[in-house]
Amino acid sequence: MSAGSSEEPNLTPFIDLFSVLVCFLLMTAAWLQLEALQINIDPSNPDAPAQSQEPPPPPPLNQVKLSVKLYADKVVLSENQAEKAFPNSNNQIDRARVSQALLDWRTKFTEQKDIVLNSEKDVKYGSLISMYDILISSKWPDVAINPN
Amino acid sequence: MSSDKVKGLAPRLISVPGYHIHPEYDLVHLRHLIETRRSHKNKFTLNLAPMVDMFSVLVIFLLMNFSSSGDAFFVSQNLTLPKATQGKPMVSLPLIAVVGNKVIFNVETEEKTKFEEINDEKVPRLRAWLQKYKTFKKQMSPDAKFEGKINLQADVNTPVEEIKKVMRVLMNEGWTGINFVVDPSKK
Repeated sequence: MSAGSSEEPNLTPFIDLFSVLVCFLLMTAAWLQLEALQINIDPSNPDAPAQSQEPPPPPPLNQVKLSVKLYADKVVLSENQAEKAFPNSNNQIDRARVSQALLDWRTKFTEQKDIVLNSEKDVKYGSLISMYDILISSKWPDVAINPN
Repeated sequence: MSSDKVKGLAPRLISVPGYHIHPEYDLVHLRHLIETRRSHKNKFTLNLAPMVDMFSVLVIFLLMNFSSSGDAFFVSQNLTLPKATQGKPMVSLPLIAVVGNKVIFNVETEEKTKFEEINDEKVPRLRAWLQKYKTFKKQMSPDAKFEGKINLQADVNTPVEEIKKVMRVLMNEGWTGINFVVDPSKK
């Protein structure tokens, strides 16, 4: 292009292309970003389906039964018969304290994998999911929900 | 002033007056510039470069958010999903919604596609649909093990007992891969 000439590239095809692309992408865009939490069913539950035809092996004698029970106003962590309650703060689970207790369990019971999540009838679904989320983020990936 | 220029007798010469009284101060270049601009005023051209810039940014943004899976997920009306940080990307599976004391699910029939039933653990229509779907899945892939995966969505304030009722129904019908649909909060 010589100096002083006023030739410009024809931008119309670019705009045509971009318009079509923008329309296509706007129509196919996933505006709703959802995720899912895959849950496990408590195997000790009588309604739970059998994983195999063979009976499950008996648990080791020294294995501790860890469970979390949700109430409307508190969370109770049970280690065999010993229980520790964490009252809710502002109608929500005290995430910091419960997480710390679960992390302590993780360091204490390094071999243990399973943990059972029970809940009372008056508990809200949001609290159940919140507790499940806390358990997974506290390095307890194998959480089983008791459906009874 | 000459004496022959008598009012009404001499032909009057009408001439365009000069730009200045003294021609030595005539700004020729400025006048030329003004005339040129005036002549170009009618030739309006839209500068398309910013438009192309805007489109480019928009296309890049949309491409980055583009979902190639092509799945469309719907959340039932009047339903607030619980928030969770440990969720995994949702996959396309049969969907059941629990709203209040009702269970809602989608079935493609000739009359309608959406069914509601009172969540009382009997739920005959839901059970029939689960059995039918399970049989269909087994027929489609007879060699593969039936995983029984299903998505379950419910309002954050739904009593857990309502969820457990549906869970028990699903377990009885062999659908044990239950996924709770959650709203991903900022990680």
